[in-house]
Amino acid sequence: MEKILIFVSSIRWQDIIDIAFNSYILFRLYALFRGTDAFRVLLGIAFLWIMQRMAVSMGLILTSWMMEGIIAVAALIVIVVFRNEIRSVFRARNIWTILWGLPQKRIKTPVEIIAESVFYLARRRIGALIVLPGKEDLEEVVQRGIPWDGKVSSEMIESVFWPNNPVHDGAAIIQGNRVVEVGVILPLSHRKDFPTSFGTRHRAAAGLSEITDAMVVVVSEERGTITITRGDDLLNINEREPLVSAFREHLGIRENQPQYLKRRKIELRIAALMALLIVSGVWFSISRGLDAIKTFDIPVEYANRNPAMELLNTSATSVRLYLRGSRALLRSIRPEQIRVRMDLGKAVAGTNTFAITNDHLSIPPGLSLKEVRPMVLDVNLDTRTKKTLPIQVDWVGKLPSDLNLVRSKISPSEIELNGPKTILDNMSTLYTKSIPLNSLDSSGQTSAKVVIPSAFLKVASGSKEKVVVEYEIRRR
Amino acid sequence: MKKMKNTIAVLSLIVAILSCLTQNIHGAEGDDPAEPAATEKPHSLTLVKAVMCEGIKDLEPKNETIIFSAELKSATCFTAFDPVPEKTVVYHNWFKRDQPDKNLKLTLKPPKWSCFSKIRIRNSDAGPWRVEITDSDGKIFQTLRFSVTE
Repeated sequence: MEKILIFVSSIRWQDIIDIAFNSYILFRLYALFRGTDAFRVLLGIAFLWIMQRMAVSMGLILTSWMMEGIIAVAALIVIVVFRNEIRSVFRARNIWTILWGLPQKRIKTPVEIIAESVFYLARRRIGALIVLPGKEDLEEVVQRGIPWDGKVSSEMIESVFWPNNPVHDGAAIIQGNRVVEVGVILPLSHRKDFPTSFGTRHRAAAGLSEITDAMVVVVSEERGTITITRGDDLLNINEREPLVSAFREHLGIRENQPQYLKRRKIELRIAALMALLIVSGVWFSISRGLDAIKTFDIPVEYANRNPAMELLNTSATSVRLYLRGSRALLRSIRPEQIRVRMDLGKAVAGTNTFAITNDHLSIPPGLSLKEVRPMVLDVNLDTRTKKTLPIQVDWVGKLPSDLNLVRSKISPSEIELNGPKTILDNMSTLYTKSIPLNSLDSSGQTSAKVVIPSAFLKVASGSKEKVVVEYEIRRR
Repeated sequence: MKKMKNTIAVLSLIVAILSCLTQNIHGAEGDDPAEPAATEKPHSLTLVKAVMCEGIKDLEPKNETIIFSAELKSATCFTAFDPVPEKTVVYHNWFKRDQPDKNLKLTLKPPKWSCFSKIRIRNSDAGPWRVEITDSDGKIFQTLRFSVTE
């Protein structure tokens, strides 16, 4: 009991949001993709992932590698193969529906009217091609016809396929209770096992069914027969009732709609609960799994430094953090996700000693600091100042014994430096780069660069780093 | 009274001879080469000549230079003051690359005085040097810069 209380008290509000948010995402994915082929493949990938984790935990190296490879390829294949299905899920709905809305009661397709019209057309030997789309988007598959958007009625369907109508040769697409498009060109099937009696209409109907989840109804002009195609199946229909049943099955129209909706609600609630359980399980396995400790060497960042001060040096440029957390979480953490930030807002000129505490650390949730080394940091700061320093020539080598270098003059004789006060206070002269004496045999002049002894020092604007040295040589 | 005057004169002569014998101090009114041309002399201690040289000969700097080969074994800083209003001291502060090396205290006596300081140099002393000539309060009269080479 005590353990449970400790466990419950250790859960932070961020953890609750974390679980709830991810559960909701999982539930939304289910609600949006339910019933599609993509969803079934995603379930397969999830199963493969579980198998791969099991293989890893059992030490099956080759199996885990293979599974990992299959998952990566499968994820790619899902996106490529099911791109139409995925697109139709996101395109057909507005953002509110994607984020929040539950599947609504569809506008009922008047299947009886369609069936009646189909039989009427068959009796009159009027050829017809009617498409009832499934969940997939047909836009990329068919050649667009003429937008119609008329309410389905027997007269409407009969008039569309009336021989004198200019669009009677194409297909009509019916969605809900509307004829949305007419004169649509469908892709032809390349199957070779078609009965010889089947013409181009049948081949077009089969062509669309093969590559989408749409159902197509064909009325033969020559024989007055009715054929429906779905997937790879072609079915001849002679009576009205089987046609209506086929339409109902394809469109998901139940006889007992209220009961179906009730069942659907229960199913969604179970899905939500499952999503919550799955995410909670994953979350607990990641964040509350076996405790482990991992070390990270993290560079120290210094912030809020007074702009008038210079950061001269620090006792350490990085610190070693010993972080505690679940193994899975520690393994997934990258050093870039951890920050050690020292606030220099209150630092003064000179040496400042800071003890590294949790306040200075930014570590991913679920991890805690066990130890930090070093525990304190010495930070040397200094104010910036300017100082003008004389320049002296650094002569090297040996002048011939009969010559004497009696004097030299440097122009400019001094330069102004900008830098930390403590460094400049300890400096009284700047020296040129070495000028060799060996090659000198008479008075003259040369130029030399001034050596700036510290990277913290900068030559003030207006001063030059190069000087001209005039020298006078006399014979002894 | 006359005997007393003679005693003072003898003592003065002895002090003068001793001063000349002291290595660091060379001074004589008549033979100072740093005699200022101005007709009106300042009333405070004034440095009239400061040079680096290879040695001292006849109370004068010999071979003024700013390059001292370690083979020379020594470097000399010569200074002359005129006037010297009262007995006082000056310092020759030797620095090797900004680091103090030697501080030599030299006594000056009125009315004018010349003096020098000398250091031994070795190969390890190669590099830029300077000598700051200061009074007892640390006021710098002049800085002489030179190099020691191998």
